[in-house]
Amino acid sequence: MQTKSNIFYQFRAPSPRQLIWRQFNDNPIVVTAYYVLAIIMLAMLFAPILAPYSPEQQFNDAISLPPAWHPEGEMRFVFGTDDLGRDILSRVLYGARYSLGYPLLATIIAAVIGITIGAWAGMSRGVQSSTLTHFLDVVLSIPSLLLALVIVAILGPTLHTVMIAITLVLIPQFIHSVHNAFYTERSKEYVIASKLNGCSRNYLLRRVIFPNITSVVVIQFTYALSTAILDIAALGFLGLGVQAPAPEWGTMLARSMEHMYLSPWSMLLPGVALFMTVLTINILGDSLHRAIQQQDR
Amino acid sequence: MNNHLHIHNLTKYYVKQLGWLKQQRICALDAISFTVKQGETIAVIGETGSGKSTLIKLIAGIETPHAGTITLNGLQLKPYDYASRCCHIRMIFQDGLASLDPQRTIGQQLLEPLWFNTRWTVTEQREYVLNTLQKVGLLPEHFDFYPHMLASGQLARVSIARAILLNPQVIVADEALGALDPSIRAQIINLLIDLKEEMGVTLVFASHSPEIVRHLADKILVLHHGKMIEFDTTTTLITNPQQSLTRSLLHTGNLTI
Repeated sequence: MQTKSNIFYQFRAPSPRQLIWRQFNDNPIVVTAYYVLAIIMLAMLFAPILAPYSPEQQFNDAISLPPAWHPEGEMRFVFGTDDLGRDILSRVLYGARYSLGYPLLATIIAAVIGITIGAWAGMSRGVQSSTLTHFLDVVLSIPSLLLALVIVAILGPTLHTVMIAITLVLIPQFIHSVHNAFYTERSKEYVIASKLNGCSRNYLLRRVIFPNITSVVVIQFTYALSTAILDIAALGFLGLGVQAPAPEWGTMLARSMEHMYLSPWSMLLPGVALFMTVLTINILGDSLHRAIQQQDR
Repeated sequence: MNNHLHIHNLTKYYVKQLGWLKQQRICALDAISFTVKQGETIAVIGETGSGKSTLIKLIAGIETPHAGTITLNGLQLKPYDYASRCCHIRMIFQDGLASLDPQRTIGQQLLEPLWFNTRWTVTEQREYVLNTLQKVGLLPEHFDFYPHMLASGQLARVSIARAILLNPQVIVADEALGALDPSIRAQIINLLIDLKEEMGVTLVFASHSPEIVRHLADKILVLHHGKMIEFDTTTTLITNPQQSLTRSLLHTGNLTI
């Protein structure tokens, strides 16, 4: 009897974050994109375990071997080998580090710096605000690829220079979007109410305003990430980014161009990987943005 | 002790930028001075754009005056010093939904002033918020609600709860009752009267409605183009107004007292 009377129905309202997650889960395309991206991420992290061979190992007996489903293909190399006898699957798996891992790192660094400066600018006013907002604007006027080319021309084509260039290009975009979002949010009534509660500036910034501009940050982050991926791939394709033996997807594509008619399969996997990564990131960012907007209405 | 809330020579301009160096100064409040005794209810009336909202915002501390002082019990209130001001003067916001953060629960937002202005433990704070919710006619369950889940009347009650949390001496309200429908407005007015009697706070509110003003206010302050044209007790202003504007503002309906 005692236990029975202790049972009661407790209603717990879902938090806005849970509601976003539910809406996110409703769309099958979005869920698919989510899982595809998760698989690509896991492949990137566990490449040494998953890849059958080292990306640089050459097999002299299997040069330009077609994929396994081709009559001349071998089961050892599921997606075939390239003109130097290297397993394409292994190279694509290892290449995810260069083509997804490094852009992710560049975007995270740019986001941290950009959001910090943007929030600082958004919370201050007058000359200080303008200075903070515009001091990296010169960078914004140059296309990211061009700036990367300039930096590469000065410092030489290495991964570090490409990373510096891409991070530098992404920062002002973060600053601008976060600053604008803060600026519009700052004059809203709930922020004034919190201010009148005697809250500290730090609390106001992190707990009151920031949760309300996540939609802006999310859309900016995904946009920046897909830009970074495409930029690194493009520079690799031009031979100015990651250098040849490294299995970067853009570099692999550039190399396979030479043998396009002889071994078209060497173009297949890196191209598909690049396409899927950028597509899933854009789908996820877009739907996340839409889910948050739906919530705000 | 008689001059509880003393406002002296309060002036506020809004600067409108007209091109590069040309500026136009729009005078919102022009040297307002008055004194409010403890526990009085003051209604601020006037036409649209007469500076009612500006006066309320200046007292609440949202805006800063260009000249003049606000003194509470002999203590001058400094602009931008929200931490000390919020223990004495609190504001009831007009739009309940806009003045509450959509991302946090009612409880989290009501804990906020206690968290920053008291040294109580978390359980004490929570207990106090639950009590306050009950005091304004809400249930303890509303602690975990998000603002969009409440009706307009409940939101008005939350706004009042937030205003009375720190036991202030003065509560200001800017059209706090304007957006509510009549039956809920009546409830909220009764709640305000009850709380006023219980806590002995001074209430300064701006309103359009002559009925509410006559019902609630002890004294009425009439503003016209940023100038105070009359300030007297409600009965005097209703029976014997000196200005024609006062008469027209207070006698829109053909009600008689």
